[in-house]
Amino acid sequence: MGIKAGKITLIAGPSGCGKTTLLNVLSGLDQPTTGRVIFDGMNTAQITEKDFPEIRREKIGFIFQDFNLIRDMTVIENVESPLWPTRLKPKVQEEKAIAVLRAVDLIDRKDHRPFQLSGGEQQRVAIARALVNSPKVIFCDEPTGNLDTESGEEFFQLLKKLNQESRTTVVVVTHNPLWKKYADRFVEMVDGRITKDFGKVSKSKKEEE
Amino acid sequence: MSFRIFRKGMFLSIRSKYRFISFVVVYSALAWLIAVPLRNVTFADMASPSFYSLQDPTSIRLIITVIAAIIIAMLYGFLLSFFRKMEIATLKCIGWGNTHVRTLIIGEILFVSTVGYLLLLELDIHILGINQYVPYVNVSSLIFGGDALLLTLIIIVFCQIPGVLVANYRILKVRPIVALKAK
Repeated sequence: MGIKAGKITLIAGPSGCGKTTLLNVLSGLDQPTTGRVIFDGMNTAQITEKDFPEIRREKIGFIFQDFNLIRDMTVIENVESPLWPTRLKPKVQEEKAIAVLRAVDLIDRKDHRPFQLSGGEQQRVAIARALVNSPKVIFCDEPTGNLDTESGEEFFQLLKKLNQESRTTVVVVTHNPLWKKYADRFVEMVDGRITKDFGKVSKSKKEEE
Repeated sequence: MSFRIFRKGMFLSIRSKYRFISFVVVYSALAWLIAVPLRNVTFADMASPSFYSLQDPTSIRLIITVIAAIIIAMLYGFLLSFFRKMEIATLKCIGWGNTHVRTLIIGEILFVSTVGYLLLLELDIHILGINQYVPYVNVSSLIFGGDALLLTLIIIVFCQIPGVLVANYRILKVRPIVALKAK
């Protein structure tokens, strides 16, 4: 399967169907037992463990179901953290973090700690953290799993808006097919196989990542 | 080694409140236990081979406390990497390498042990003050000399190496995929 650049791809299916495994394989966190993953022209199987951090830092953003914010860091530190290992000046890092916090409308919460925020706000911080390094792809693993429906709607609306503004490719894995209304492409999986694929791009138009 | 990440490690340790307070107290007690046998020891004494003969009760007490310091440092390194496992995996997911995570953890370990030592220093300054300004209280025997304090700092810092190694070993074992298995 190919993932079109700049679009939102939603992968849905029941628990245990292999969607998270697919996400792990696509993001290079896991290696496929058969087949290969070409990410930005590179075969992930050939990327060494030493090179992966840099690739993740520059090209990939992650959004997790449990938000995975660092409890002992403030909101702005959480957002800045992907930039700390880079050579960017601290001032520039802070400016970038502030810009994305503005984009997710959390600038007034920048000095709060994650546990002082609601679930929806924490997930917005996670979006800001995923966006701060201007990645090529953002992988979201059940991003609305710990949110109520209203916060889930807000999450996807924000994700869609940011996707349209930054043209960042987004791959979302979820058990809830209702969110397909926000996706450019909807893939359904059952027992480790793709059973439905709506919005699939033709080979000629396909821009594989 | 990024100094910024190292500094952030220090802040992280303070914000982990209970772990910070408990280990600062433990390190402080340990620094005191190391400093006590060194109270009358100078650098010149330590340079003499007889100091290491194991017949001197001072050296035996010192060895016991140094072993205790190493065990505490290893325990702290273990606990730190245990409690921060998910955070380490998340940081690796967002592009941190092992070196960066190690720097963060070293910052945390060294800061906590240094603060523990500084409490001993603070205590010594208070004892000095009492000795100076409250003459009817005899606390002169509790005062640590400059040599003893400096030796204690050196020992405390060096004892952190096994703790850092334990933490490092565990950091290397944390795979970024763990962050996605939080559910």
